[in-house]
Amino acid sequence: MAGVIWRAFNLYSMANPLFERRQNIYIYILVWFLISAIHFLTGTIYFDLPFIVAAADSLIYNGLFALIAVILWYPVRYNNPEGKFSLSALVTYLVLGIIILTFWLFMGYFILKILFTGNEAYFRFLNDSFFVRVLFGALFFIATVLLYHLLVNNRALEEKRLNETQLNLLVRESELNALRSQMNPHFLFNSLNSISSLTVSNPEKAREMIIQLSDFLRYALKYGQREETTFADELKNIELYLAIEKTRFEDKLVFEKNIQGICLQAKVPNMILQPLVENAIKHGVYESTTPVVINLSCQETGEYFEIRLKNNFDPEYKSRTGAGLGLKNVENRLQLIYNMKDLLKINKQENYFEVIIKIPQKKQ
Amino acid sequence: MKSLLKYRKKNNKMITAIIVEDEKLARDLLRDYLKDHADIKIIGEFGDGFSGLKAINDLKPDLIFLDIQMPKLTGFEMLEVLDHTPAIIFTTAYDQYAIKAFEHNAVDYLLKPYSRLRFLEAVKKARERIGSGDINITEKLLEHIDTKQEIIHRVVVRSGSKIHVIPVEEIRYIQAEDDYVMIYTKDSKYLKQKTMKYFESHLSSQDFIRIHRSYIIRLSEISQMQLYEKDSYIVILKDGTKLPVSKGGYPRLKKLLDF
Repeated sequence: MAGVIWRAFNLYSMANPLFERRQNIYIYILVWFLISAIHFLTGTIYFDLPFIVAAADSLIYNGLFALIAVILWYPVRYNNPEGKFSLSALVTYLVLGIIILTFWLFMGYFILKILFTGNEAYFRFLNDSFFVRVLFGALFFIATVLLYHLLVNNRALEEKRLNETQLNLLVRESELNALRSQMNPHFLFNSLNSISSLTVSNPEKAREMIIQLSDFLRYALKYGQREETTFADELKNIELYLAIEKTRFEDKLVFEKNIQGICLQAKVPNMILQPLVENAIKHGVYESTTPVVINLSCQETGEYFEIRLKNNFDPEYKSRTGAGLGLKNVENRLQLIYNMKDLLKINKQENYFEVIIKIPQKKQ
Repeated sequence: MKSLLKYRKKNNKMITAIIVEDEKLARDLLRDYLKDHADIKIIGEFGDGFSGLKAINDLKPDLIFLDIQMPKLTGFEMLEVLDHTPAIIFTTAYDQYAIKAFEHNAVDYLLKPYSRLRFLEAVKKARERIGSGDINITEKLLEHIDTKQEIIHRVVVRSGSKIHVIPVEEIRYIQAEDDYVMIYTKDSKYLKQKTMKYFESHLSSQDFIRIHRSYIIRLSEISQMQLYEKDSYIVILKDGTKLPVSKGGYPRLKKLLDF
């Protein structure tokens, strides 16, 4: 039962960092209890207030602020506490502080006035202590805001650290799988078989294909998973790959590119084109008996560099639904590198298939 | 070479062969290797499963060299609708299909790229198989093995001389018909020589459910379920077809539909 209430509470607290751990709540209550105790003792001993009056004074003012401080999370969050402390945030806090202090003082005064109607001595004390209360209220307010900022930043830091460990783990894993994940081994074996065939009919062409294959493999092994390269490099490599596939599939494979010079210097992750082209060949060329046109184009929009790869396919080919594993890998990799979702889009039409990837460009 | 000459003298019978392989260079290689074997005569080469299938049914070769990954029909899909069964040598870069290939009574399974010597072995086995005439021996065994529970994405059926490729998404339900099953799609129905058990294990269990000894239905086709008699139910499909639910099918349906 307690668990259910806890969960519901957590849900409605909209991730107030105070309630992230049960332990935090205990500490929070304890701190307010201590403050209230000091407040109470000062009241009874120093100002000679009656026991009941001092207790009520302490409980109402401090209890009220303890509640207000919880609600204060929402405006703090609204102020983007993860970002830099800006002037506008400072102004917001100033206004917020004045409103909250006024509300707090008024509410406390109002409740106590009802409770102790006619106790003139106490009201005199209440009026005299106004400035001290403002001072303490301001202090509480500043402390609460600072606490929230601290907690949020701490949380962000922890998240970042967790993300990084996860990324490192994944990177290492995929580096181990570099060849396997980036390149279909059947591509390699089929190419070797083609070379084996060419050694008889056209030894010169066989040698050429071995060199293309070697250059391609060297490129594939050269970079780590996270390393970026220029689009020009990627293009050169993919043309090698296509040249090899072209030897295998001859006229069935047609490659077109539509690339402006401005695209060539764009930064892209290495080996990002190969899985896209491989996917197009697998679902286009492998499954068709007529020529399949693979069209590569790109666009530089400042913030993003966009690559489009389009291929027609045999309309008779009853394709599988959903994206293949190769494209899924690309999507995951882009998300890991740039920490952004939806960088890969698939556009499947009656007679063509298009993959669009967006690569965020850092401002230089 | 001496052993080869001996073969030719001993076995005068010519072996007819067809190559079904989508890459020209791979076909060239096969032709080159086959130059050593004068008793094997290539009577056709084809670049996709469809034309290969037609040629095998028409020309009835003794031996086929078969690639697996091909346009239109894969090598295995092709074998399913073949009415003449030749000796088969698979040639492929994929090693994961070897078991399945031998289940399909393959003579040999050549992994690309393969050597002349390895090819010689395969051809030798084929000669022995064809000479002994027991090509169909393991074929009957085949129906009972089917160990690999891979999910299929399309079904190939033959009606008369026509070959239909049915994407699994179009299948509404499947009904048992003696040794065959009847596959119902939106617009048509197709007879296929396969068991209910085969479809039960090769269709995605998220999309399909066996509700009865004689029926496998697509879950999303269900419109409602009704009590028919005392503890026997029927399912009504979206087009109004009523199908019985067996005692064993009911709890499975209940679990999947979560009611």
